[in-house]
Amino acid sequence: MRIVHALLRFANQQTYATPLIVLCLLLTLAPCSAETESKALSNGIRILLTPTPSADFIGVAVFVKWHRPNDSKTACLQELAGRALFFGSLNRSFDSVSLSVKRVGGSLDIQVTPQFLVITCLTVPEQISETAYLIGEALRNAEYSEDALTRARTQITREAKERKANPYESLRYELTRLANQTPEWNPQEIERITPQQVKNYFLKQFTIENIVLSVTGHFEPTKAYRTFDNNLFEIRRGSPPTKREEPPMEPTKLPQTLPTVTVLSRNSIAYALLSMPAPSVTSTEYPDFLTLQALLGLGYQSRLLRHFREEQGLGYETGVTFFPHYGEHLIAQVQWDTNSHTKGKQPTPEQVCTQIQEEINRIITQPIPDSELNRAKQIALGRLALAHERVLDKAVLLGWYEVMSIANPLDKELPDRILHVTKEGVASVAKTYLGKATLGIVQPKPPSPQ
Amino acid sequence: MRNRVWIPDEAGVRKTKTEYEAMVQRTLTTFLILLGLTVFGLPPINAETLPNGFKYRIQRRPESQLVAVDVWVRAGASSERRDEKGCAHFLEHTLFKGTTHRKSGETDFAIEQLGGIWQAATGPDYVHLYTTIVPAALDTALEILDDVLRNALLPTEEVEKERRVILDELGKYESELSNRLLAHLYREALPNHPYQDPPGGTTDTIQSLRRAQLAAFYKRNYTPERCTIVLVGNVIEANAANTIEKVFKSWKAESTQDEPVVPVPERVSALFVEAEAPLSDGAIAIGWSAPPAKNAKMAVCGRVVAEIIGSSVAGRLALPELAGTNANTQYTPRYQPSLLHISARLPATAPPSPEQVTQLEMAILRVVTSLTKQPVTTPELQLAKRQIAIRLRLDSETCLGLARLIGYAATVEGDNPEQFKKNLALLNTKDINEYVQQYLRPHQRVVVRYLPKTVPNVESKP
Repeated sequence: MRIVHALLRFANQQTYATPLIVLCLLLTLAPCSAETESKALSNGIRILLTPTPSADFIGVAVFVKWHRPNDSKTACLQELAGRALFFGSLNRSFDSVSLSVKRVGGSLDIQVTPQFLVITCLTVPEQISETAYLIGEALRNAEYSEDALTRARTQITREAKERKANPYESLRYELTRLANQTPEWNPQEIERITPQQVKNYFLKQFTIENIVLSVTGHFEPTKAYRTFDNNLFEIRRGSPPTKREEPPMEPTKLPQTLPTVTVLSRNSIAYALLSMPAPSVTSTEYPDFLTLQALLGLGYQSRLLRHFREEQGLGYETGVTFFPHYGEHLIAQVQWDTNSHTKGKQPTPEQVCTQIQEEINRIITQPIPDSELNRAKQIALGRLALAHERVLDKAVLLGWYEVMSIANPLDKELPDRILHVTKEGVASVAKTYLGKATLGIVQPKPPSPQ
Repeated sequence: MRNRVWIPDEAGVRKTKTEYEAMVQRTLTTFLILLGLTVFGLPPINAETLPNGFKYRIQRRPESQLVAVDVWVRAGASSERRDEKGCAHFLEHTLFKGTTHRKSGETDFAIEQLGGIWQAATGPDYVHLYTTIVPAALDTALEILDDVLRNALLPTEEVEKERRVILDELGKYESELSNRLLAHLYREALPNHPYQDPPGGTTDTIQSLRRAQLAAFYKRNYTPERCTIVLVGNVIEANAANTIEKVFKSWKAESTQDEPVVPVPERVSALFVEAEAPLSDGAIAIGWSAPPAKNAKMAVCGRVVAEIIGSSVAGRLALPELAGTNANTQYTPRYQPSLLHISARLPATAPPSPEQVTQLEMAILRVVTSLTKQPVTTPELQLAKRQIAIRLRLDSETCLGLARLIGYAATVEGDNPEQFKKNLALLNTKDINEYVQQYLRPHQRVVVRYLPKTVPNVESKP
């Protein structure tokens, strides 16, 4: 309290008051005005630093870009190169470093997608050096020993088994695979891959131009930059990207006839899903598409929730999801319990898929009311704001923007671009992208005759 | 803020010296609060009660662009009478289906056109309705909440449609083994207790409820003194408090009574229940009685003990023989005394056998009894405390996350996040051992075993 009184007395002497208060206010406002700094490490690897002094944590997202696999072998190489990345290249074992991250309540995860490997780490400010060491060491010289691959194979096989036991997860996995036109899972192929093949793939793909780091949270940018530079500057594979604007990654070209994927479940829960392509984040149509997504299935007043829940009382997990950074298409879905509806009255999964398509057609063919467009825009904006609340979510979002294009203007301009979306724009993207859907169904298995 | 201080007032007249000094002091005080906020954490929660008993909590987060609005009503499943099972959850679904001022869908549309989405959840002690919005939408959100909390019409047609949606929700919930297992454990361990039944109701109870029962439950439980509204985010406390007062003060107080505390039945010997598992799974759940949230010290101890036993990297359940079993220890302090429970299932990799379920149970029991034989050490306690503290910070990262913690604490009469942190810091190994002695006696456990049966494998045809 003495310090407070002294400062107040000091401030009351007008000579000093003006500059002091201006300084105080500037200092106070500083945390709110933190911006993303886009830099290159000394070897050219791109790094985004978004300091958020009010945060308690640090979120780190690392994207390693690769091409969609067009054969089973490449798909297996990507899985193994990603999963085994941290298994055994460190002076300290992965387990010990991972344990120290987890012991402070953080997390370290790897996601292999058809377009990228995504490494995410949530940690506390005191552990930023340890995190940079862990990531740097793995990206610099992952070893891929036979032991490391065995461990990765076990993990992959276990996850595949767990997925198979969950019809919904199984269906989504299959829809994502079809969306990216990636080859089918082949357990024999993964056994055949040798450590040298994985190492070669690593050396070819984990290059300077393919790596993007995004760091968000409580840190001092200069120090954080130095920390990551010290741990990653030795990477000499590849060369820095020569131009900032890269050609956008186009959505996959889908075949003329799309299959219907059916998975049988052991219980009474049914799902009807439509998986539909989306424009790239770099496309001028992207804001229209985000608005369309909200119009179709975000919020209780979206088309799907009104049609199924409000009008028919059908479906609990109903709406749309869109995780493009994990390789997913836009997925519209309805879930219901076949036991809870009167037999004969309830629609079949195929009929529900048709009803979803009819709702989409209405967006394409009938004028969208102004109030509905405004609702959709506001929901899209709200979603965007929520995606910036957690440091790790923000790091992933900005890293993804950067690997696809340039994060800084994209992140800043997107809200304004959503505000300028027109109903014609929404109808147009609906026509372009939602006209062609892969249908997915989870259907209760009929009782077997005894 | 800067404009208000430094730009001459509307008449273009510069402030007098006294006003100027006062402004300097106000500004500097604000700065110091904000500086303190950055360095030492958040300022204390602004907690008040209106004359009608309606409570509010406001936590300012100037760095946020959003504000979370979360209203908690002490109208959860434990407030249901015997013939009202499922009412709390059913009402949660139907509150937004029309009021005396708005048709069905209008409440949702009103908030969605401001960028928020109303969400709601039901628990044993609460129903809470929440959204995250931009600060400019706050007045509208509060006005809608007032309407929904006081004037819901529960139209019959909407009730019938929503019944089907709830059944779709419960069908999914009940199809998951872990949910069925825990519901079974609570039913066996807490007979004739408010937490005996799952808070969402069951397909049977939801099928049988009528509109009149919902209306009676609504009238009895949706009263101002049972509500707490929490605002967290970019709001000016004084302005937000004024708006809350303006909106909710006319709500007439009702004299409702708090639920009497119902103790967990004292056991003289362990209780074992066996059932055939749905499908081919094998699983186990073990429960011990646990203190209510109001018993702050023991409630914190319970959280620490749950951490030490397992669920996380530092837990004693992190054993090779339990790998892949999803062994999970949980204790959430509630308004009434409840359970600390441990659940696990056999890994899906091999065909399970009843013996494996017994082995799983023994492995868990050994860990729990080890707390008596090898009392918790100071480093072990510190690690568990650090894990819990970090998780608390992580849960508070979003405005809504913090609002949830504050609202839940107010509803179950437990520690708010700040008090919890203080109590956690004060805890020592003696307290933990006291908890173990009092609550974790092996002979007082209740065990539910799901024994596997053989069924054909799942088929999937892509």
